[in-house]
Amino acid sequence: MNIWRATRLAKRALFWAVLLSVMVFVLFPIYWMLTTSFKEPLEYATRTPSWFPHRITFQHYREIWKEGAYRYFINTVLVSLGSTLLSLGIAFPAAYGLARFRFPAKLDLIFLLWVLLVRMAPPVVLAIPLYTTLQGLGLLNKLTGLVIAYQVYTLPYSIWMLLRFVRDVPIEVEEAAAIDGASRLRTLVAIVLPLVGPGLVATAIFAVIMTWNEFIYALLFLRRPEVFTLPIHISHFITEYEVLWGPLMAIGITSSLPILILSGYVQKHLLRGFAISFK
Amino acid sequence: MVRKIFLMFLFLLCVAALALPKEKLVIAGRDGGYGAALQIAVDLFMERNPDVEIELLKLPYKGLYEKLVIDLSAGGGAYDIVMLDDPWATEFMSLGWLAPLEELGYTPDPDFVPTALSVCRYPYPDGTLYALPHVGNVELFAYRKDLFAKYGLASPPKTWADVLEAAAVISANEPGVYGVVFRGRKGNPIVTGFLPILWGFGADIVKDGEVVLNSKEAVAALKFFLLLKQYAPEGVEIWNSSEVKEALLAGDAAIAIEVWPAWVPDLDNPEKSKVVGKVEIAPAPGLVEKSSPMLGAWLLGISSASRNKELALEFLKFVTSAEIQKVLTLKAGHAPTRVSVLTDPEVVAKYRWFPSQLAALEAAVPRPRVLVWSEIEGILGEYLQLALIGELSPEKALAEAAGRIAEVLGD
Repeated sequence: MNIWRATRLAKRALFWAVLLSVMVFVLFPIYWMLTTSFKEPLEYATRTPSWFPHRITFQHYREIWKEGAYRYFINTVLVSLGSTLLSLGIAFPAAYGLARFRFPAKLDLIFLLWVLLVRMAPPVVLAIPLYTTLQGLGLLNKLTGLVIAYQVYTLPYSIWMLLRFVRDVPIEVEEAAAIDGASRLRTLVAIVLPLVGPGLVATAIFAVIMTWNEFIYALLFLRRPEVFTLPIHISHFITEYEVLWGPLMAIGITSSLPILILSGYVQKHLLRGFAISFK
Repeated sequence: MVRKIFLMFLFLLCVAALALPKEKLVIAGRDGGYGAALQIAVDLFMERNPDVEIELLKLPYKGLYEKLVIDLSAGGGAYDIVMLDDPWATEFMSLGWLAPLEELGYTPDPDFVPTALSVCRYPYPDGTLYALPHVGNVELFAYRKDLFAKYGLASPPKTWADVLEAAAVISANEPGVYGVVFRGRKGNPIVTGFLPILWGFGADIVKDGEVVLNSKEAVAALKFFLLLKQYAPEGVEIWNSSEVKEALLAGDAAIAIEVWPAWVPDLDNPEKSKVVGKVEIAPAPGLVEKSSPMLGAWLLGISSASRNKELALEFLKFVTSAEIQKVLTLKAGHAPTRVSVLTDPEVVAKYRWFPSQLAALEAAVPRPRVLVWSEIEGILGEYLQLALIGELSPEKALAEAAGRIAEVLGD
C-alpha cells in the first residue's frame, strides 16, 4: 500500500518537474523579450544582465510606433487573412471533391501526393519560378502577389486538413438531404459546411500562424518599404554595426501578441475539431 | 460651357502627360545613413532633370543580398541601379549580372582612390569596370591621444608592436581603462578585426586561388592577437560593434583596433561622447608589411536587365562626381571615394580625421576576390574564436581552418 502511494507521489513529482522545466524552456524567452523591451539601452548593454528593468521605460514602444510599425502590422494582417481565406475557399471544395467523387486511375491519390510534395519541398526551391511568374503577372511588390505565393504554404496544408474533416461527415446526412430534393451545391453549403465548421476554424488558425511569421517570400517578393510585412520590418533592427535590442524586443512582443492570443483559441477549437461527432 | 472648357482642359492635360513621359529609375539602396545620403543625391538629380523620376528603395542590410540575387539572377530588371557591398562584387560581376560601364561609354577619371576603384573591376584589379565606388568605407584605427601623450607613447603607433606596448602601459597605469578593445564575436566581427593584423604581419588567407593561411607569418599574427587580448576587457570574445563603440565613447578604452567612418563622427559629438577631441584616428599600423586596413566599400552598379542603362549611368556619374560627393559628405557624413573630396579644405575642416581616412583608403586591402568569401569568413571566424578562447592553439586553429577553406575553394 505504502509502496503504491510512494510510486504515485514520485510519478506526480516527476510530472511536475518535467512540466516545469518545459514551461521554463518555453516561457523564458518571452519573459526576456518582455523585460528587455522595457529596459533602458544602458541597462541591457551592461555586462551583468538584470532580471527586472531598474527603471521601466516605454521609449522603445514609442520608437517603433513613430517608425510606423502599425503600417507593417496592417500589411501583415491583410496578407495573413487574405491568404487564409483564399486557401480555405479553394481547399474546401477541393477536399469535398476528393472525398466524395470517384476519380479514374487513382488521380485523386496522385493529386494528394503531389500537393504534399509541394508542401514538403523547401519553399526557397520555388522562389525563383514564383518570382518570374509574379513579375510576369505584374504582382511583384504587391500584397496580392504575396497572398498568391503563400498558397504554397497554406493550400496543401488546408486541403489535407479539410479532407479529413469532410470524410468524417457521414454520407447518410447528405443522402437524406438529396432525398429531400436539395441540390449538390445546396447540400454543400447548408449541410456540409456547418458540420465541418470547427475544422475550418482550426485550419484557418494554423494558416494564419504560418503566414504571419513568413520571412523568405516576403523578403524576396516585396521591395518597397511601404508594403513590407512585420518579419521584414523586424529584421531591420539588426544592422551591420549593432543590434537595436530595445526596439527589437518591443516589436517582437507586439507582433507575437496576436498569435499568442490566437493560440489560446487554437487549443479550444482543435479539441472541438478532433471531437467532432454527428448525431 | 464651363464644363466643356474643363473637359477640354482635362484632355489637354492628359495629352501633355502622355507627350512627356517621365523616365524612371529604381535604385536598390540602403537604409539608415547611407540611404539618407543617397536620397540627397536623388533629390538633386531630379531637381536638375525634371523629366526623370527616381525611386530610391531604402532596404535593410539583412536580406539585401538575397533580394538582389533573386532579381539579378532571374534577369528581372526590377532594379536599374543596385548598391552592393564589395565582397559580393566578384559574384555579381563574374556572373554577368551588372552592365559593363566602359561599353556604355564611360571612362573613370584618376580622381577615384585606386583601391576603391579596383574592386569595381572584374577580374580584379584591372579587368572590366562594372561598378563605381560610392561609399569609401575603410577600417580605421582609433586611439586616445591624451593617454598616449601622458605616457610618452609613439603617436600614432607605427607598428603593431607599438600598439601592444601602449596597451600594456595604459592597462597597467590607468585603472578602469581597457588597454585595447576589438570585436571578438565569432564570424564576420572577429575576422574583420583580425585581418589588418594578419596582413600587417605579411600573411594572407588566399593567394592566386590557393589557401596560404597555414603559414608561420599567420601563426605569428594570431599569437600577437592573443597577446593583445590580455589587455582587452573580460568577455571580449562576444563583443561586437556596439560594445566597442560604447566603450570608446564612454572613455573606457585606450585603443580600438577597428572603427568605421559611419560612426566615427559620434566621437566628437558631445551629446554622445565623453572623449570629444581626445580620440585620434589613424590608418591601421603595419609591421612586416605596410599598414593594411580592410576595405569595406559600397559600390553602385547597373543591372544587366535594366531597360534604362544610359540614364542609370548618368545618375552614377552624377552621384560619384566630386561636386555631389562633397555635398553628401558635408550634409550627411558620407564617406567619399575621391581624393579631391577627401582633401578638400572645407571638408577636412569639418572632419579632422579625413587625411588619415585617405591614407587608410589608399593602403586598404580588399578581402579575397573569390566567390565563396562568405563561407571562408564563417570558417575563419569560427577558428579564430576557438583560438581566442584558448580551446585550440594558434597553430592548430589555423591549420584546421586552412584545411576547411581549401575544401570550400575546391568545390
